[in-house]
Amino acid sequence: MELESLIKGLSQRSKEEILEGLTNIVLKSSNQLSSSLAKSFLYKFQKNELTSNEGLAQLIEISKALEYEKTLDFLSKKGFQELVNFLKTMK
Amino acid sequence: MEFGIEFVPQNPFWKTTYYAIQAEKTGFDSLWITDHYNNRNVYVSLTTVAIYTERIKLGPGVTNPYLIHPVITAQAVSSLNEIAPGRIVCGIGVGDKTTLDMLRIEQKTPIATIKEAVQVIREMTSGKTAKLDGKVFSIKGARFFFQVQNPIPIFIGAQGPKMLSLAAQIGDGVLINASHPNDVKNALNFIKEGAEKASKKLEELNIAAYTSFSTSKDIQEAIKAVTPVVAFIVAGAPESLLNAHGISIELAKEIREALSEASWKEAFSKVTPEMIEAFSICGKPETCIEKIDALLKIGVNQFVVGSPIGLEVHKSIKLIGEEILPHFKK
Repeated sequence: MELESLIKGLSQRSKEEILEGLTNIVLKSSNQLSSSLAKSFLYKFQKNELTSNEGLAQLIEISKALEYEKTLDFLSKKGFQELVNFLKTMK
Repeated sequence: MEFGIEFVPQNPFWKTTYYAIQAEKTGFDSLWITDHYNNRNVYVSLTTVAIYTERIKLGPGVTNPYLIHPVITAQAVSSLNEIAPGRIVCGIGVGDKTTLDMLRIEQKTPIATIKEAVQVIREMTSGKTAKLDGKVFSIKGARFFFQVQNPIPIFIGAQGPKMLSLAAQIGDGVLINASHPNDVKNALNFIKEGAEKASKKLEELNIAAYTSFSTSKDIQEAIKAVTPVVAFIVAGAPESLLNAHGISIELAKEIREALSEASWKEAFSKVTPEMIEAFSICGKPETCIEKIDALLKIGVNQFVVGSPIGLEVHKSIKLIGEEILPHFKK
């Protein structure tokens, strides 16, 4: 199963919760983000596409790349265990 | 009432650009990026922001002609204007003394320097040949090999009486470097004087209060964010300004010394609530609304949310969008 398919099954409220929480993690991170991922992230934010399934999947990937533990911890605390399990298999 | 926001490009490009996109979505009219050699380059930052935004006006806030020759400033803003036609503004001032000191650059003859630099930028961005045999700059004949599609408004950052008056005379706008109503009120007197000298109507000028701003729902967070900025302002403030706000000259000296030794904790611990009140707009959104309102009533027509904005910039921008801007943009 792909990350986007898992996200597709989430409610809009859950998606917004993930968007807000992971945006906080990403913006607070002092780790380095690749230029190509950063540009794609900015493009999706500008076009309001971060809430789409594809956009949210990318945000999760970015957050995981920047702050692996914090990302999993956040998702776990918010009860998105299926996402956590999936991300663990991706490492 | 227009709202501007200032970013210091001390973060990776994508974070500054994220905040800029967010500011545009939130309803800000303009954004300014500071120009200091020790942060990311202002024009690289502005270029990226210009690419990822559609509406917001943007420009250096402010560059200085001591480090950057005015022909290069004219070239940079004109090139940016191709990426964001009609959205570029050019902020110029004498620069930050502490930063220029590091390079042993003296802010000599500031009035003549700004006057001549603005003349050069104005001529070149208008498609003319800049020729000048001035006190500071000598230009035999400089012009672009390309056309600038539209005029680029020049805003002059000013604090002292002579610079404020000059800014009103030769600028399209004035960026008043102050946050307290008394300071802004005093500044407006000199701006009026300058406008009269140039036979300009005050309404023709963009008059902005370029403030140090910090907001949060948690007042302690807002204070924590603004304290370092206020420490630097106090350290660089002239005695007359400190006296006007009843701030101890001795304490200001201690802060200056601590900062020069990079003893940040010590310097910041000496910042008092009176200093924060005098040199920033800091507080919960409702407090900020009252303070912005006071500046509006004095006569400014643009308000710039300057750094630090808040402890977590994106959260403060969101808060400003939800609770402050709607009060003024009904």
